[in-house]
Amino acid sequence: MNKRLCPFVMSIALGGLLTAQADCTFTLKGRIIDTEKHAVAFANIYVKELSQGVVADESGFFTIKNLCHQTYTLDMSHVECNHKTQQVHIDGNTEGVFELQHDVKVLQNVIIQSKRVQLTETQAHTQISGSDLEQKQGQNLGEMLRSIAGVSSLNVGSTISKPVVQGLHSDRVLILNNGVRQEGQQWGLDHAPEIDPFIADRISVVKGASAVKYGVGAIGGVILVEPRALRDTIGLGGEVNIQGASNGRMGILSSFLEGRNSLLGWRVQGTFKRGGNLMTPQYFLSNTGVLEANGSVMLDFRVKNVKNEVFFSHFYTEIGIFQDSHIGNTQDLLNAIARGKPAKDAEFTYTIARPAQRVQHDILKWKASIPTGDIGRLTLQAAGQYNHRKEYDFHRPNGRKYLTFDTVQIAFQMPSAQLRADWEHRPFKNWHGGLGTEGFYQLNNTYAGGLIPDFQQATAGIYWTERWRRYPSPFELEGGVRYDYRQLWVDSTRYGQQNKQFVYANISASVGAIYHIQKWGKLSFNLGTAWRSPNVNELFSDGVHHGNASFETGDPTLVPERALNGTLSLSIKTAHFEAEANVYQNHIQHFIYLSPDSVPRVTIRGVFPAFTYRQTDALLRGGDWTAKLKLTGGLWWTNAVSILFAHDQTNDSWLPLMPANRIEQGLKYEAESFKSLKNPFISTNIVVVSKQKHVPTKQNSDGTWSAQDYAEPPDGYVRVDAYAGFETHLGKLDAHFGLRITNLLNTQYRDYTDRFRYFADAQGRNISLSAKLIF
Amino acid sequence: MKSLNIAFILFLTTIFAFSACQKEDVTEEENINVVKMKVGSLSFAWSDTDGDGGAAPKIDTIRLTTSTTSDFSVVFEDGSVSPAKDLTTEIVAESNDHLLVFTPTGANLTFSSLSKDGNGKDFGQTGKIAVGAASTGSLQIILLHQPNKSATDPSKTGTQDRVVTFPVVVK
Repeated sequence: MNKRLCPFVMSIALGGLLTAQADCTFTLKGRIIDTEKHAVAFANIYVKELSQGVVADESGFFTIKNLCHQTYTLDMSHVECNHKTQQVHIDGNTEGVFELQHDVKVLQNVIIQSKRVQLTETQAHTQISGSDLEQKQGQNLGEMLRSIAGVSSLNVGSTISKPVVQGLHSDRVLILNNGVRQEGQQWGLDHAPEIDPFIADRISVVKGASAVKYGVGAIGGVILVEPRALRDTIGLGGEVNIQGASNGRMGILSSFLEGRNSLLGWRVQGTFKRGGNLMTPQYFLSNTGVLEANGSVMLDFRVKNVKNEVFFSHFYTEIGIFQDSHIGNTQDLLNAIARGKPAKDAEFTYTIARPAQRVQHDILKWKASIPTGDIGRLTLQAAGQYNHRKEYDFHRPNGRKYLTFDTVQIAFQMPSAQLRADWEHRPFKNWHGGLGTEGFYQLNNTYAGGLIPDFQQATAGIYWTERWRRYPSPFELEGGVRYDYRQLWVDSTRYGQQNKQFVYANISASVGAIYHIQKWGKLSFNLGTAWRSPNVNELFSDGVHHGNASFETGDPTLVPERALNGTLSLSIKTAHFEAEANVYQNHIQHFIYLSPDSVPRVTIRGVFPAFTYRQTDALLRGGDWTAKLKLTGGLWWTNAVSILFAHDQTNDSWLPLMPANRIEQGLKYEAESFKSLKNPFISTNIVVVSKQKHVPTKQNSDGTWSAQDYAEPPDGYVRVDAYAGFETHLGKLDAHFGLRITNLLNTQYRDYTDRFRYFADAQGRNISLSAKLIF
Repeated sequence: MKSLNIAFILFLTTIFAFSACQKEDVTEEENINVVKMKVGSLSFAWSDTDGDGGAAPKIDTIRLTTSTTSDFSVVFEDGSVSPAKDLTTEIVAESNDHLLVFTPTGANLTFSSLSKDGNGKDFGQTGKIAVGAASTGSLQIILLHQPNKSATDPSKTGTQDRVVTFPVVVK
């Protein structure tokens, strides 16, 4: 599960030992250092071929004797990170090896991998990378992450999906796309993050309040979408991913080409995705096609000792909105629920008709890493983003049909600019840390329709974090503090807000500790406080939210939310058993939510239940757990549990739209490699989701209680997914093949956090085949 | 430092490209925010010219005389502009895709001779209204879009574009 990045670099000095005649008399002398070129003490180095290992000394030096003339696999590990495997060729007759002995500059060329030091988070966090990620690619970000314990998704069908971390989503969860805070129209339930997951070779979820490092808003968690580092050797390379899925007859092509010469490293990447109407176990869903065309360019180059990185990405999608879900008023919604299935039989088509969304998102980033003498390193980052969202109704509000895409009903343009400077100091005594500052400016222009006024927003922040660790003490301590100042300008006659200014400023802080339990475990605790200022829709909404069939009213007097979040985590890792367990409590003061009004609102489209954005004290408590146990040979049992209780303290009620409790059980069989067939596996996963019983309720006229909703939450369900895959060679190419079957048994079900549950069943069986060619 | 400059220029160019991004032509939405019920020479309006939020809608009370029969018509307008723009003809032009449903509650009103669409099915933009004995109540008018006019109860099909309810007094 947790393939954490190994924070150290190994540099090997094949020193003073190579007597080049007899076999098995060589000695390997090495030293383990981090990227700051400081020693990593007491790491374990295990030589697979010899089944023996050594421990590095306090300065990172180690010696392995009696090596033969051959290639060895070294498995390096340290309490702070997982294993890192590296092959080292021992050949006493090689001249280069002799040179290393005397030449320190050449020695540096033998640095095998150079990655940024990443200390283990004291917060609960999970990462998907490698074959786990490969298995999930092709889905959207929300769907990919929902297999992680504690993470679920808020869906509008299967094409629009937002990640939910421990019950929180949208503006309460930040998404960092290659280090840039993703700034889209995140407030809408039907606004999915504008990200191409094929950019990433690692996606991490940090659970709980994380404002100190990532800024205002991160009261629920952070999702980091990280591309692989550019290749570090001179030459060309690339990858082609081809995927086909049965449901929606979706085809995906995603590839990249990368290279490095003496001047710069580069990568050009692109993804194209096309899918048609999706099918539930019994019927097609009309107008649920999707089209996506994304591209990105990444460059890195050095100017003297300044390392520069430039990243540009373009994301474009067209999403059809299931026609039955596009309702005019409350009665339409009640009619749809009463029908229980779509009004009209649909057929398969790739054509995307109205209602639909077209969304574009561009990011341009420049990052420079500048050494500041012996005392540390300064990183500067400038980023610009442009988000353009267009929503097309089925017909115009006056009832005329309007079937071409030449007029848009709702359109937002949102450019943002970010500047940040982070200075990391080199370890001083046993302290490692840094400070930084961040500035941010954003403009929102609604040029058609819209539910929110135009606004401008500027934020400035400053932070300082420190970490203490002294080998071999099992304790690590961490603390950080941050201050942010945010100003919001709204100028809108329509919303009765002429040139209004709102100022929000506050402090975020966190403390954490890790206790390393021998070699096999780690106990972490983190306590963090973070805040989020009210969003424009929460301040100024004034109209019918069609997706929800409700009249929503904002409140300009809302105050920021304040979260106090505590998490206790235990992680265990042995050869036969791996587990990660978290228990958490997130208390959010002034939690902003839609609270029902007693009087409904009369509009020309009929009478709508009215809701006003109000504040309450919310208490989110829960636990999540992931485990992996080796049963026998290559057979593993996997298990994941997510439990959440989201309580509205002020009203002694439950919070709406929270994910139901979930248990996943799986079996995975990893077979021995067979001839050219490498790492073959087959696995199955049974997802059990309970009925969400903790929902806000209302008392009916006959005295009974029912959900404060148009329909009761759907029943729980069991869904079976299956996977298989292997790696092989096709000529000179490395090839990975994968099979993913979601909803293997074609089970009919509806999920509480899917808005389509009012209208139709969830997606039926989907068989997806993928091939990845690496050259 | 040359490459650094290039990076800066690249960055600025794209920022410029962002700001210069084309604004597409958005025709101002024509929006029905007034529904008028015309009975004989009388006219009663349901109007919310500032849109859904803001000021509450202004709703006339339909006052009719007992035991009379008159022609009626329903008129749709955009009252946010001056003079108000009549949008009824656009709905009449798409009569096949529209249906007006009249539901009196408590008031003694009977609707007949509803106007037909291009396929000879009910449309209901005009017709006759028969007023019965003295009563008070309400009249709901629904403008349905894409109803299934062959259904047993077409009023339960399609989407409800406009739904207005007038108070009614019959004296």
